[in-house]
Amino acid sequence: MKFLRLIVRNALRNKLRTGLTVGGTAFLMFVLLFIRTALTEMEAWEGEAAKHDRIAIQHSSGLANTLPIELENFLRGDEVSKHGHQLQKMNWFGGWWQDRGNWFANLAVDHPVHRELWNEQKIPDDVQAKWAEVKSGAIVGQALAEKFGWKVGQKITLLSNLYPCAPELEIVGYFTVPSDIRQEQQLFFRWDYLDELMNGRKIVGTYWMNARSPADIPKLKEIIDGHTKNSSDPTETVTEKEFAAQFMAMMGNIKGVVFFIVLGVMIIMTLMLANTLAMSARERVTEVAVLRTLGFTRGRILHIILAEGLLLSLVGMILPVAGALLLFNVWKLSPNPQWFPYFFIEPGTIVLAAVVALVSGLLAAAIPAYMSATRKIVDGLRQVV
Amino acid sequence: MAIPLKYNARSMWVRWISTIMVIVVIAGVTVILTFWVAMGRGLEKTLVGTGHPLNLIVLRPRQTETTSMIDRAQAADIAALDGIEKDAQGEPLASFELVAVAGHVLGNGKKSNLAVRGIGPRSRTLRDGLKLIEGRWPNPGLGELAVGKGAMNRFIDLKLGDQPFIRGRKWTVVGTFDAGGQAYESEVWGDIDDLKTQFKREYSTVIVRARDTASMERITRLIADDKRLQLEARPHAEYYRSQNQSGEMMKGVGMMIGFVMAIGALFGAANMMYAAVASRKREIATLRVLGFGRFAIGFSFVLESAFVGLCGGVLGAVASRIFIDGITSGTANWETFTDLSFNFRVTPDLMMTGVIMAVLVGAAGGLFPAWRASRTTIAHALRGM
Repeated sequence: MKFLRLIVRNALRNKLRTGLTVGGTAFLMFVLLFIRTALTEMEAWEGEAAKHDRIAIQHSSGLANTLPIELENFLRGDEVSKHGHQLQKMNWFGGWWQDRGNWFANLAVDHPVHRELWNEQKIPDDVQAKWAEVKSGAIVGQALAEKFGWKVGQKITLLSNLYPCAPELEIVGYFTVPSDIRQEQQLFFRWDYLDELMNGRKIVGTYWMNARSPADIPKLKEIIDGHTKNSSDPTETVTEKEFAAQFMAMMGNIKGVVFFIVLGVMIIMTLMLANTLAMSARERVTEVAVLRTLGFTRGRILHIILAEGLLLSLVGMILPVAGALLLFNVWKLSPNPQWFPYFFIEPGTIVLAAVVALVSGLLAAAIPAYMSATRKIVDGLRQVV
Repeated sequence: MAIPLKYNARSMWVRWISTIMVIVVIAGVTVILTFWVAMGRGLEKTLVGTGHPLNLIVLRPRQTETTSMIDRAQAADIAALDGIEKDAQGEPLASFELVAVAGHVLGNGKKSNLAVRGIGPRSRTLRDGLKLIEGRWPNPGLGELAVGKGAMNRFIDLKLGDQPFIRGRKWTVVGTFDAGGQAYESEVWGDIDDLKTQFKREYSTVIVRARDTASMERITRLIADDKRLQLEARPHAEYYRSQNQSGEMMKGVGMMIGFVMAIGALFGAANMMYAAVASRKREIATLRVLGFGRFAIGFSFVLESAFVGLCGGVLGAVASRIFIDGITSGTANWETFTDLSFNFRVTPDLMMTGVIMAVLVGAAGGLFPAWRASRTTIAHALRGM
């Protein structure tokens, strides 16, 4: 630390060069933050889902297949109720409002149990009461309502490519999700209303329920899947986390792509930094020799140059992190609002950026530092730069 | 008078470490840009280019093959419409089909949605470019399947002779086929009646071949005007093209990432060139003394930098062609929720785009250093060293 001033002065000796290096590093780092955040945003639900004991019962042939209404009786029966409660039918409606671009999450659900089952959604009493009254009523996340400018009492019509009906919904109120604002990007309307529009065909997408304790989850899986095993519609009972994870599996090898980009960025960054550090070390051969004659040890020289590499790469990391935090977390901008309503930089992403910066800085400085430290004093003094 | 290129070549050689580092940086950026665009292009290729130009697909408004529903009587009405091409026996070229979705295990152990198409006697006639790879096409009533090569590579148990368990029964794979890169390669084809029974579904679409473009419009209008049908006809090719959202997004992301990284690389190139200019001050002054103009000197430096970009671009493009072209991957088609397999496509024009970007990065990176070089005053520079 005593030599911090020396290190900073060295780094600032050629301001243009340092500026270009830090700038280049910053742009590359921004790409890393961006890609990794796209991944964490897609995985966000999985993280939230893990906090609850909810389970989903879906068709074993996948979500595109619907479940029979007869299953509801079994799920309300004693055998299942011992381990789980708050049963809810839920259908993904897949609708949009006015324009296909205005796509958002909208689901038809059994409204009476909704507030208890999804207890992170804060629904005011009067809204819940109004929802029970109005069959075409819908509750909307606060953030979603703000996005589209919806007001309580407004009627909106949804179109879908999954259902051949166009529900005209009346917004009865808003809900908030203090623990995760992403979940405010949803709209829920009543399952019985959807069923009415579908002429009572009793289509069920998934059943959801709350396990009475985490230990009940495996039992529920066994009982429910065992019951339907030999029926024409076998089920697959999954935790909320597993439910969320299946969409990531459908996306394909996203993690592989992210890893490839992170690795690429790290290599490119290292080379850019190495180039700068090699240049500055070359210019300072005589100077280093003088320092050595003054009593600086080889180790100290090594440290000073390594520290300079770290300084450049860390500043090159801090700038884009600060910029991205401001853009995405504070101003809540999104590169693609339809795919990503939010684009929050997660703490883990900042840690990853810091690790990449550290490794790149050290790797880039390693060779110049080693060469400077091991050069003989006489050679250093003799060399004409 | 222009400065001989030999001067630039030798100068680059003198600082070869720095030159190579910048070349690798630019090559890396080219690879990452190419990676994304090749992914988007691969997806696009499967969807854009599927469907005969005179084919119409009839389905419920806004819906897709996986969700639409058409009953037998409606399907027969459509096949009887005027303007549909007839085959040699005088039968209309119309095919009643069903596309169902089944959860199936991928090669990596995760689950995704497999598209299963029920085909009739004229399904193959209505499509170009189908080729059996092995075996034969399925016969009706025996639970036989033909598997597209994309699906075969992505999912387990879909090789010739395998007996996959799909939607409650065992099927037998009797053939595998190639569709010249069309979306059908990601599907499994079985007899329509086998599928209707097993999935408990009606037909989902009717595909017809119009006699000519005028008939296409006529059929489309007839179907739209018939209020009892509640169906719409769309050009088959347009139906697939409209599903290419993922491809568009990947190309968009690729361009954006490429742009930001290119700026980063530009800084690196500028850094290298500034160093080059600084170390050649006396040389530059000498050139001026010899009578080379300011412009010639500036141009020479830009050229040198652009050449470094060119080397990086070519290296990156060739590496992409070798390592990225042809990689098989898959992702979800978010319109139908089924798995779509695709190959990364690094085409010559994409390689060219990468090279052009790299040359621009190099040239732009050299611009300011070149300007500085050209501003060097002779006396100053000669004295300065």
